[in-house]
Amino acid sequence: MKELLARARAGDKAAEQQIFQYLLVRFELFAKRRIRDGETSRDIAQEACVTVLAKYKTEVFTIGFGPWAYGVLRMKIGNHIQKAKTERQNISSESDVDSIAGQSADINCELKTKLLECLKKISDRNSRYARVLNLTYQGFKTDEMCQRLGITPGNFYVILNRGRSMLRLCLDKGEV
Amino acid sequence: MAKCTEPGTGELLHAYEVGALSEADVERFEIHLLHCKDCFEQVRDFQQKAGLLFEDDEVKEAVRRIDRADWKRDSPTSKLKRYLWPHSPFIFKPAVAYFLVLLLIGPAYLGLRQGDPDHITEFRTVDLTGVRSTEDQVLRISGEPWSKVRFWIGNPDSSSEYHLTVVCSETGDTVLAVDDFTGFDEYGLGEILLYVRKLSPGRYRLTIGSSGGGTAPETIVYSFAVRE
Repeated sequence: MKELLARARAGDKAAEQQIFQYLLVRFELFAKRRIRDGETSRDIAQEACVTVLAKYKTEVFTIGFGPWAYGVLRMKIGNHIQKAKTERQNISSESDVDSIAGQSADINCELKTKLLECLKKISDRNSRYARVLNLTYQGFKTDEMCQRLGITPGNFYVILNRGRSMLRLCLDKGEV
Repeated sequence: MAKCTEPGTGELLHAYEVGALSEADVERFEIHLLHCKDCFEQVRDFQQKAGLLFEDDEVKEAVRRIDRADWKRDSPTSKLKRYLWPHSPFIFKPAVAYFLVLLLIGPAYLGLRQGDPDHITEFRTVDLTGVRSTEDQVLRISGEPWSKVRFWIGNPDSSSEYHLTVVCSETGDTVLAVDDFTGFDEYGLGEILLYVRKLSPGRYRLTIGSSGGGTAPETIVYSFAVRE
């Protein structure tokens, strides 16, 4: 990345394009994790990349290029969330919340079925692993889950790792 | 596949994927993802497949259903354990259990020991029977506080009472006097208990004689020494 950055700063357009692509896929992933809407996430990631490319030549990176670029993305995401909140408040009186709910339209039914089958398989195989995964996916905090399950945070992460590995294996090969 | 560039931060991978990290750790890990190709590929791959767990309402509801089923399947014992010890570290539980067992069983065990006839303290016995008259046997003050002294008379009269005296040869002090001793067995052996700690070092005489008429034997004298 450093080499790429040096070349881009020296005027290499191809290197600049590479940086753009490199950041875009990552920014999109980060944004989607928070916003859940694929299209909006892509827009935000692109906006952040454009801002980065517009400023990186003149910016002095006190904390390094990566953290600085990440900061740009976080700012864009923050702005979007703030804006969406305001819009939701305005629209809520008109009962039109669904229009900005951000539900993804292109849900892969096959994948959905497979995912649920896998969770069921993990649950049948080891209910504790399944519980950790399920509680995590339901959005409980780590200490809440530890309390519910009667385990320490160390044990929790071990179980989480194993549960997640089982899920991954099941999604790839269909078996636990 | 390339290896993680920062294994310390890379350990957060799985927790990040399932959304179990604090916001500060998420930031730390995402900055790591900007540099680490290996972690990034793993996260992207997993998110493409498991992203529905966060996004789709139907999947979320199914997860809740599975979770409730798992919760119901838990045994009442494990639920009780979690209720009683929600946060205790794993190693602590056996320690508590062990302590409770000791607390419950310990006093009972000690009580049994005290009531156990086999556990009665055995006194040191000094046998004077082989050293009748002038030879000395030795009682040690530094040993057990009580010592048993065994002696013998030829044919004890079971109808007679005997008087026993233990007298210090040097000072003439009587340290024990029994007028009605009848404790000889069928072989003529008798025993007395002496509290040795109260005796001064020196020579002592044990005199056994009949306290009445009848066929009582002559007076018998045993000699023994008491030393530190």
